[in-house]
Amino acid sequence: MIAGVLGRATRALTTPLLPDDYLAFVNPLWSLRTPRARVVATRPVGPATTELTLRTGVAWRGHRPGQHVGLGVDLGGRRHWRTYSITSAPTDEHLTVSVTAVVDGSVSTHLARIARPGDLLGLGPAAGGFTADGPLLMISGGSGITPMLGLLRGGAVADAVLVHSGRGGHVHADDLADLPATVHRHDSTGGHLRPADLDDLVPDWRSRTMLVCGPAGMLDAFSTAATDAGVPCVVERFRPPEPVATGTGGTVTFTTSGVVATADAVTPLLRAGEDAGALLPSGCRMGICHTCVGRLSAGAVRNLHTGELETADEGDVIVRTCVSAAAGDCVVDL
Amino acid sequence: MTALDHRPLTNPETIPEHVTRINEAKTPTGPGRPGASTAHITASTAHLSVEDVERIGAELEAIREQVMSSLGEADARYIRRVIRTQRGCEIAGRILLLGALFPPALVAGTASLAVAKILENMEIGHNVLHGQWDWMRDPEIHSTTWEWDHVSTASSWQQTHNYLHHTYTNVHNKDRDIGYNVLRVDPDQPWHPTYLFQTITNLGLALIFEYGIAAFDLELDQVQRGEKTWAEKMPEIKVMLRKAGKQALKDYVVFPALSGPSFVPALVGGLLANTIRNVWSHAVIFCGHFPVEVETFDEERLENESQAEWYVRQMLGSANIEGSPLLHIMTGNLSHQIEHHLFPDMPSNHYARIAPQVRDLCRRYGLPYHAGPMWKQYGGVLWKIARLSFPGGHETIAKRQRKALPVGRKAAATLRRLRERALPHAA
Repeated sequence: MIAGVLGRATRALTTPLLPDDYLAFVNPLWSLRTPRARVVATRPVGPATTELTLRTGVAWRGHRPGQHVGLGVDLGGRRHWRTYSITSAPTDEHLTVSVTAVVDGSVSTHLARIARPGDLLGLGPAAGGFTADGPLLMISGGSGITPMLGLLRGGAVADAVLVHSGRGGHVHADDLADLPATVHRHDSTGGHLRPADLDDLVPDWRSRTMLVCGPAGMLDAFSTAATDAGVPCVVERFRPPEPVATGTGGTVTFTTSGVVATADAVTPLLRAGEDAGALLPSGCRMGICHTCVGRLSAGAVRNLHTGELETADEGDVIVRTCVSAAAGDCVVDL
Repeated sequence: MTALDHRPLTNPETIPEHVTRINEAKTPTGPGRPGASTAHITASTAHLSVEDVERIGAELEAIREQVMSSLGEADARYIRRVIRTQRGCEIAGRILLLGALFPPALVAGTASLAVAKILENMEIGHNVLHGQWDWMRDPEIHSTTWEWDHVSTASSWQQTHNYLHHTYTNVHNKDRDIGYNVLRVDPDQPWHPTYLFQTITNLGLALIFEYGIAAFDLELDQVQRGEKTWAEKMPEIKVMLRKAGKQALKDYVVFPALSGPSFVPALVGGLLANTIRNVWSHAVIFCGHFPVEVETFDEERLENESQAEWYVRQMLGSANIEGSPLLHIMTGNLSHQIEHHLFPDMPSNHYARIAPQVRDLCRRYGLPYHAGPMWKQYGGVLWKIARLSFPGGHETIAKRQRKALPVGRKAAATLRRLRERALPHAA
């Protein structure tokens, strides 16, 4: 109650701004409203991968092992958001993520190669539910190791076997030995890791829940194998599957923002809206976290993952703007 | 009334082609017949052909495109620096006023707070609310999240200013900013005895400009005309009163109370800072559209108005203030009113750079480009308000407007066309 009175009193001093605007004026990390992070250290952990150690702002609400977080980077004056798996434990003082510079990826390249201690980043809420109970078999490829690090370091796993595949220099090679799990390394220069290899590496794999994170081919191969063997399997995707595109797009009207954007059939509504200057909610940007959802009040959109058409006349249609594209003109209440 | 009354255009053959297009909706049988609207032709544009106007539009589009595609980190740094400066001035002003019993602290605190309030309203608030900085995608500097230190709420302002005023700039019965319902700033507004005192009304408005604008944004004239009932207006009024109450509480109760023994001088400081901001923004805004040379338009002009014709109307209906970079920042770059009206969502720090290009374009096409130092522009506004407090004024104002037109513009247009015909690609 005292805090409430105090809050009201300070708001009377700063109206129409919030006390928060002045806190952030002194130190951006002090903002109570907008979580931010400051880079405190960078460390190379692979050929093109850098681990960023981040001091989180007051507004950071913490995370659970296996979750990911959005990082906001200002490039050319514009804010861009990308999502990364958290590799630190919830109890650690700092948050760590590992970023692999992707070819043509301006944000990942910036974070992996240009970001320096002292840089300020936007920070989204932690999201995702990549975890499972009981004995686990973790299968990761390349930078797919990151959510496994988060899970293992977070102490959420009692009995785990990790099979990690990488090309030559492993991402986080030095960190694998310290993990509370039986670790098998696989060098993929001689060929991809196949489900058939599991019988040799982890004889009891059929009695474990499978967690897979890595390239799309790996996800498909192992989730199929798990289904065939009747083993429960959870996958974590870093990138949405290739978009299914048909049609011509159209104009997208965002009613709350009052923005009208033109979008083709492969551009997510979220991207189209942001490019037109709308301020839209977003999280993982790949259809997982449902932060970006909005009600479709007119027209139709196509789900970029499945190619399914969703139309407004089906009733209360809630769409994820990050994985939906315009199928003709449409109206979204965002 | 048509613009034809004012100029020697007798031969229907010389009516530019776009007249036909504009009138197609009304009179589908061709130009120059009885009933055809020529409202969009004014003395200042009579020498332009429809192609000329389209070319003006294309050139302006090119200027816009060039700036908008160049936006980047330097611009983001600029607005953040202005915001930091403003917050610094605000904090400094408030702290100084805590010791307002000490006269130098009162003076410095008032000045600092006035500067903060002017920056907040003009270079930051007005421009952020136009969406000039939306491209950065920073939720904290965005037209949909911003609230400003002004009695008028952000959303109410966006309706009357961004939409009505910027779309229908200087069009009678559409742009409510013509005289703000209390002044006669154009001879075409019918005279009424209350206007006899409008020099004093204007002075009063300048002192309380913030509240005047808030009341104006409520569009209470809709109730007078019977378009809306008081009950329908009540929620809006309540929101605005609540905001005004919070502002007054902060400036006139909370901060003076914190100053303890300095209560009275601190209150005076806050009152002065608000008044300085009011008088200043009143002056800047009146210089934007009310100088004598600036034109107003009839509603007919809007019919089928093309984008290029809209651009031309914006240029004819606005006026710039010439001065130093400091003056431009303190006016929120509304000293570049012409450029702002052409491109309301262009970040304001670019107006100074494109102003010479726009001015050159006006020179080449023989269009007036209204600009002058502040004393001249504001003096002209005050003279006009004084003159129009009495009935009539058409001839006097029209004479001043004619004098402001570029000399030899018809000859210039002919020469340009000849040159362009000789070098078709030069344009």
